[in-house]
Amino acid sequence: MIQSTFFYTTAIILFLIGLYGVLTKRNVIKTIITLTIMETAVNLFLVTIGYVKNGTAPIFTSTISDVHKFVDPLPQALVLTSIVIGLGTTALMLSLAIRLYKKYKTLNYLEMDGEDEK
Amino acid sequence: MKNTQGMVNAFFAFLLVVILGIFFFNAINQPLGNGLVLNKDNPDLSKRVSIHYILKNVHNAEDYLAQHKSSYFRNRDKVKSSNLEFGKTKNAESGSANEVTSIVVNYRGFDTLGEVTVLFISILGLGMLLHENKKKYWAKPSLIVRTGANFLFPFIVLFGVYVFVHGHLTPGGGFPGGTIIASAALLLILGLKDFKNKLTMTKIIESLAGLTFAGLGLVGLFTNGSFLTNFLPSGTMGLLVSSGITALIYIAVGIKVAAELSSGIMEMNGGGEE
Amino acid sequence: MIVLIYLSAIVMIISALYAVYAKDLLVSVVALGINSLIVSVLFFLMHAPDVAITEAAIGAGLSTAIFVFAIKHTERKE
Repeated sequence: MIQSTFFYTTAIILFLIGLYGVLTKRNVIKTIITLTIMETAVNLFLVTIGYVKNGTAPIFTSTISDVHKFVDPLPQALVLTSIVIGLGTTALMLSLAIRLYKKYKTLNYLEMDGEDEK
Repeated sequence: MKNTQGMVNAFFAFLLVVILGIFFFNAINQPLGNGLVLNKDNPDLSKRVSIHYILKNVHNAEDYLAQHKSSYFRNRDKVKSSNLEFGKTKNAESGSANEVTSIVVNYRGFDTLGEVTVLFISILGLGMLLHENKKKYWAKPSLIVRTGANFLFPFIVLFGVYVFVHGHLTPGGGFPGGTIIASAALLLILGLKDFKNKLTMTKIIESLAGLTFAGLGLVGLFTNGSFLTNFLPSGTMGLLVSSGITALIYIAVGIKVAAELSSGIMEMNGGGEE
Repeated sequence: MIVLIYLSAIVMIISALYAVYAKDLLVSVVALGINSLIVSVLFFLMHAPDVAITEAAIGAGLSTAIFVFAIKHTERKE
């Protein structure tokens, strides 16, 4: 269909947008949102490595049997793991953000001052 | 004063992003080594190691490597392989028709055990941090959601069970099947007026499913000599009862992920054990 | 088919920019959901159906719901 340079370019642009958001925003939840965009870009890059231009999906069915036209199945197995672990770390980061809000009453991490306990 | 500090930060971040962009775009076109370049049009899969996972001849490749030492790396497509066909091949090496499943559960099954452990640790941390959460207000949704939540719940659970039981024949598997069942639990939280958390039963189901996964690996250790081997026969490729313990492991993983994620969502909603 | 691929890439980049620059956190979360859905369509067009099902169920389903729960317990404006 299309050359895979286009998919590589999209993945790199998405990663750089996410990186800019992580570096400049001051809200904790917005940092977590842009971190999730970076993870999506890396997963897209990994799946593009195994892309064959006129291939088929790597599943044997009753009509598809030509083994030499399959798309590479190994990067897809790695990306399956990566998506699920991304969900796990996002859930843990959000629970930490909720606890931070309960203690300091603000979500701007430049205004959280750690007062010593008297 | 705060505004100029913010603008200086934004300028330096933008400069860093532009420089990194130039590096990344250049790195795609660099040669890989041995004179190869990252092939953009049609990568030749017989030069990669995934050709053995596609043709299902990993054991033959190990024998070839032990025999021919280092000329194996140039002749990957000369390893012997058998003909694979849907519904006719008997006792192939890993007999599932879905090749991504045979990599995730059979050839690299230990990585899946590690992934299940990481998911368990993160939901454990979430449960510990949010346990004394008070329940917020429940906003009453429209009539469609209230009726649909009561009516649609068993159909969504049935669809989720279908996805992870047929994981070795169709795309899907344990992880999206478990997530679909957890989204059915989310529908109940949003739609019912007096929803009570059921955390104890969910945690017991999750622990039993995790023990089943590890127990299947240990049975392989005591009968065949290494952890997570396939001790059941492979059967015909394409039937529902085939491919050894791949189907059993995906059922255990599906139940575990479903119970884990629904208990995580119940903890985030708040209210404690009732 | 080629027009579909170009359109999906443009919608993905616009929604990612929207997620970074919006002032209301709920708008950012909805843009993240759109991003995950369009990436799932791209995975399907690259002949990877397993990855597409997993990304659609997790990214556009549970991840958005968990973010909305977190915003409910904290503030909504940035």
